[in-house]
Amino acid sequence: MTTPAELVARSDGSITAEQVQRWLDRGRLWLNEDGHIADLSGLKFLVAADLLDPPEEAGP
Amino acid sequence: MTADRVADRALCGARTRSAGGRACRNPAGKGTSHVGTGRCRHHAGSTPSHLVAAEVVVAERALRTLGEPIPTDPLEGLQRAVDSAAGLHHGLQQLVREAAASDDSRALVPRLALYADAIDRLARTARQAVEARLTERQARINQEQGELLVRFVVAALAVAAIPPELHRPFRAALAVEIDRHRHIEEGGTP
Repeated sequence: MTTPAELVARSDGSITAEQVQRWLDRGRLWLNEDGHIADLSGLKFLVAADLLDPPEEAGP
Repeated sequence: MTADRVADRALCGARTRSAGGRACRNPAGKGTSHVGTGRCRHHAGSTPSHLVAAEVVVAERALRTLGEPIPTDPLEGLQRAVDSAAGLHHGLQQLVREAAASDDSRALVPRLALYADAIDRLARTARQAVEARLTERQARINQEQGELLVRFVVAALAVAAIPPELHRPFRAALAVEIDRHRHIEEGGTP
């Protein structure tokens, strides 16, 4: 069964399923009642923020 | 053949009348179409119910090795599911037509039920595939926009000759601002 995070992840690794799952876990993305990611328009900001300040470098 | 090797093999195992109720020692499926599985031909191994039971056992055994996980791109996997559903739909459509053409109502009724299920399955998998492709496209467009924004920032830092030691705090501050903007845009408080 394909998870919503896997559907958004890119096969070239530029967006990973773990990254998407982290956004979901932190409420940056959310699922609609069908179990799909509700609104992907915010993804550009999440991608930009992670590229500008990668989470592993950002510290706790 | 040694006793140990005989014990390792699958046996028919049916209760025998001639041997005082002992289990049949014939190899499983001996003399049937399912050699290696189930009852031998002397103990009802070729009756319809035993043939079906043997097929189930063979399929389950095969799945233990065929069911190994294979890394699959989700969209490709969904497309394969749609193709399989379409193939099943087409095959059942043919079977329904054949039964209808030969006026064989005993065959037609169960085939119609299977055909109805196949229509539902094809519609369901096709819908899932369409939704997945839309999701993938929306994600790709937004990813490109996010990457473009970062390229502008990197170029601006270079053009403005901002010292490299300031890049990291600037990028971190910008990331916070972007996240704040996204939060406000989605109806959150500033």
